Amino acid sequence: MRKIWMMFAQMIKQIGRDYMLLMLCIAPVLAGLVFRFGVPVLEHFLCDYFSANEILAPYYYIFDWLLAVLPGLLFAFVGGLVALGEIDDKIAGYMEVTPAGNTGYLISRIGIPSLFSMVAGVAVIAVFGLSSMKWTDILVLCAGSSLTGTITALLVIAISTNKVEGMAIGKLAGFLSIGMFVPVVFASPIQYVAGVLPTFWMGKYMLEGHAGNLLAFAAVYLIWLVFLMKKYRKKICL
Amino acid sequence: MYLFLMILYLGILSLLSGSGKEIVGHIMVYSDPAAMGMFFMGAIVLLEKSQRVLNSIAVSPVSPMEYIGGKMCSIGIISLLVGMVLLIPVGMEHIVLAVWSIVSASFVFTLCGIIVGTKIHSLTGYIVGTLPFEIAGFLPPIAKRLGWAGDSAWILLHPGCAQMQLLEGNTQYLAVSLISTVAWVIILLFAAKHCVTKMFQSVGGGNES
Repeated sequence: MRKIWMMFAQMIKQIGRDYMLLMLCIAPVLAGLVFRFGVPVLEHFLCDYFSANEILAPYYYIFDWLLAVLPGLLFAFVGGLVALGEIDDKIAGYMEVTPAGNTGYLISRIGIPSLFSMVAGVAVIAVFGLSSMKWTDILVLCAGSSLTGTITALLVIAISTNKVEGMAIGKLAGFLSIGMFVPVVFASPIQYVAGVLPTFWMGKYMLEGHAGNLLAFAAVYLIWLVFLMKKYRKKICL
Repeated sequence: MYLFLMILYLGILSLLSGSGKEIVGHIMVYSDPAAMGMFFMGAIVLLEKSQRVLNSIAVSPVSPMEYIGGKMCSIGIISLLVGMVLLIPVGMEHIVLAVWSIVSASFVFTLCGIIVGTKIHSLTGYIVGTLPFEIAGFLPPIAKRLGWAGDSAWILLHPGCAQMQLLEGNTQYLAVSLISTVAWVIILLFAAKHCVTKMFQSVGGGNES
């Protein structure tokens, strides 16, 4: 574990030099401030304009979901970008022969940042949350978001053949989070088309409860994880 | 990969109608296909550095202007194609103005990407480096498209606002919009040439002719 921490510390040093670390700390807070203070003002303006009692208020929970998704996406994506650079520079392949191994390397680049993103997500929602979500829901939402972040990062490094492709896949992988909002938009059975995305089941759980949705999330997540890990191992095989 | 994104964007546009569709469509075209150069340039330059392609280019007869021109044209063509496809369901007032709007926006963002890309050593550094350009490049034109920035000719001195005005097919202050977009491309071209020349000297050595 100490070796993995050392690898993680080295990554922190690297992104600290680029001011990315500072940005990672600032971005969720900035988004939280905008949502916490901007959305109610916007709601007030819209209600005045359309002479309505409430327009955005019934959907405040969606803004909280967005807040929860942001750290998960951001932290893991940065880890993914660092790994992408190291794969291109032919450093990642040699990690297999280090004491931490390939799995340790991935934990240091994606796993630990995701863990931190969960803590950041909970903190941001606790401070800036608009709806009154239950603590258990906040924890489940943030855990789900950070796990989804690992899939996003793995997609970037496992599928792409170089940095340019990695950036394009990163852009597309961000849309994985859209699955969470599908059950809100589509009530009909057509919504289950999005069931291939783990985030869809997270959204279903947040709306309906039911532990079955969490199980489905875990199953879909594991399928993605195993598939992407296989792809990654094949890719960096020296 | 961009084909997937394009289909996704078209799907989102198909859910909208009326002026909302126009506004979202214009912002979509401006912020993605047109700005593609800024998003990808860092990765392209870093990949060229790591594969030692830049070292070869630096010692070849290719001049910095030709290198920059190659990047502007290749990304410009993709931006234009994707942008025009996205504009089909939205509709175009003036096709020539829309084409120049997308092409000039692509040039501006690609040149900004090159300027930042020549100075960085990692993808994370590039993302942080392009952040000020993104804020300055995206917020004013989006505010303008939403009608929050007024109708003054002064705001057209911002290249993004001028490009957004052309994308809308708005011919008010047409000369100002056209001169502004051309002037910004020329200014950034010379700034990018200076940066690429320095980068070529650092990877290839010697003085640039």
